Amino acid sequence: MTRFQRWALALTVPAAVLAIGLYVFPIFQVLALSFLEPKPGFGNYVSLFGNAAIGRVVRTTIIVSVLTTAITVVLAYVVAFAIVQMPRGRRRVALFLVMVPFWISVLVRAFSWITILRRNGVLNTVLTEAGAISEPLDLVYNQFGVIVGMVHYMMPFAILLLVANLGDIDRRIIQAARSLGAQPATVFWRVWLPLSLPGVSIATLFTIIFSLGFLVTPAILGAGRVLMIAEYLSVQISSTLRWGVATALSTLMLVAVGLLVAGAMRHPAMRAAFGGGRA
Amino acid sequence: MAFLDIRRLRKSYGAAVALGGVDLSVEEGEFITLLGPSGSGKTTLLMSIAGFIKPDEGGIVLAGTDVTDLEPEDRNFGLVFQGYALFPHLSVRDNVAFPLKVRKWEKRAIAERVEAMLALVGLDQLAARKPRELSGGQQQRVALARALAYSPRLLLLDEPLSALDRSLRETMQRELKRLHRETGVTFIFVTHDQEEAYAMSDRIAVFQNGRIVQIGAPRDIYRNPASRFVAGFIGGNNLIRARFSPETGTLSLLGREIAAPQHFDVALHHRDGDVSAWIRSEDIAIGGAEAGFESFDVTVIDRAFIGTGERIAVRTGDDEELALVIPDGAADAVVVGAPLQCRVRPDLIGFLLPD
Ligand SMILES: Nc1ncnc2c1ncn2[C@@H]1O[C@H](COP(=O)(O)OP(=O)(O)OP(=O)(O)O)[C@@H](O)[C@H]1O
Ligand SMILES: [Mg+2]
Repeated sequence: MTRFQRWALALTVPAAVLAIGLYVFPIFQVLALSFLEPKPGFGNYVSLFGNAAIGRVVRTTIIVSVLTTAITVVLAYVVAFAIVQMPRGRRRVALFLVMVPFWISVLVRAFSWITILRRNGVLNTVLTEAGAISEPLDLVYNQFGVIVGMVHYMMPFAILLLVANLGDIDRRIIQAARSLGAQPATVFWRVWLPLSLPGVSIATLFTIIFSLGFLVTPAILGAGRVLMIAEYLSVQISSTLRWGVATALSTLMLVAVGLLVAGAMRHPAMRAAFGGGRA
Repeated sequence: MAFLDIRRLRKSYGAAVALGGVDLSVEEGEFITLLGPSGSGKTTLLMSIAGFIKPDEGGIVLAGTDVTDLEPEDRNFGLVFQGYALFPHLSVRDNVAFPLKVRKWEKRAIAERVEAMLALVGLDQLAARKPRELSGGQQQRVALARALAYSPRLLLLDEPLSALDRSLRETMQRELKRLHRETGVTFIFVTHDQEEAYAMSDRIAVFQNGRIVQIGAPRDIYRNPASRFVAGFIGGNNLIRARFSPETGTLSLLGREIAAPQHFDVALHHRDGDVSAWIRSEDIAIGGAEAGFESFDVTVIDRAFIGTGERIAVRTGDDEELALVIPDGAADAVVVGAPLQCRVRPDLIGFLLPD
């Protein structure tokens, strides 16, 4: 090892200690609790599968996460596609605007959506006054509101991931397609989209993993009516104190996400996204 | 009217003029090369022809049709990029089939044409490979096959060989000439390598600062460069300064005073006595005066083996540096730092118009 490498290694030590102390160790604790609380054995896991309430929570979580991911990735692709076509100066402004939500707390964003979406909120008022609707629409405290909030939260991440990927696509390949006679729609479906698959897949994976663990946004915009796993866990741990069930559910979710990542990594587009470069 | 007519094409980027009013006529089936130093506007012209750059002024007419405002995808020209720009996600076969699928050819016709094109460029064995599994020369061939598959009337090539090593380059040059002959397609080829331009072209257009400063057959350009710039850019030329004395009708050059040769035009070739002249390296020989030659004394400053012979750099009495190329073995008596006698035929000295 050279001196430089020794130094570089030394610099990673604090982060490693923190990660092990605050992350790996608690995970093992969770794992242990799931087998030991309230009494040793597989009881918690067995009870998970027989429990209708938990089944509903898991189903809600999956439906909301999948819808959020699909909508986020499609919308983010549109925005990212527009951004990479912009001249340099305008692109900088656009990226800046994309990042603005990062500075606003999740709570503030969730409550802003409530003011916009509730029955006598901004959107319903405008629509009623414009005569588009006669009755206010139920836009929040339901799955729709939760998905709106979550998509809004995930968009900047997905946009940045996609801009990085789309920006890397060699413009000469696009020009080549046009020079060969491909009309714009063909260029998009036959060239842009296949070449952006690594970016799309990593944005999808990132969004779905993030969505599965959402707590604050669904709690506020769903108002208890759209119960997702994270909120359910938080209730079990802080209110009903059923630690055994909560830790077992967490463990299952961790395993599920692990399997998801492992499965996704088998896909060539995903391996390319992670720098294998061999799509 | 010519097959392709380019009229007063102008393009500026802010204050930078990329094309300063280019006129160019190309005949059907011609192989024309755009030659010029880096930044002289060759790519800009090619991309304007292809439709990717919208000129500020001027027009492009192909076979009597104004194509200036057509989108690139509607022009039906072939285009080969410097970096090949193959579709990385498609196999060789699908790369070549792309323009045909886009044109909604029938499946069978596509398969047949792809086979024929791959055979034409000698890649039939590699049809199933992805571009990244090919060597540079093979990728180049795929790019050519793809650009020629739909029988475009015009093929535009932007330095297609510059990334290849020398021997592969020569093979590909022959290949390109063969493709040109066999397809009859009009080729517009960009390079900044003059030997490549000589070897391949029917005509060469020499670019300088966004303008075509000379256009003609390779031999014409080599024998009669139109300006100091062209004479200097065409390799193998020594540019020298001379003085003309009207009273005696003599030229002083290379540290000598010689009678002005026949082709020296007193009215044209000098300004207040200053004359720009050039001598090709291979026209200077080592040795004393002989009938028809003028000799002059020089000091040797360098000698370099170049394979086919030696290139010798010398300094003349009037402090000009010259390069001469002599056959291998003829330079045994040449010693760096020592004096040497050289000779040249005055009728091979070229004179430039004052610029
Ligand atoms: N997009 C652009 N923005 C600003 N200036 C440009 C742009 N494209 C080209 N230029 C300028 O226009 C001039 C001509 O460029 P061009 O690419 O045509 O040169 P070239 O002859 O192809 O050179 P090379 O042999 O290096 O490829 C150059 O001075 C270049 O800096
Ligand atoms: Mg160029």
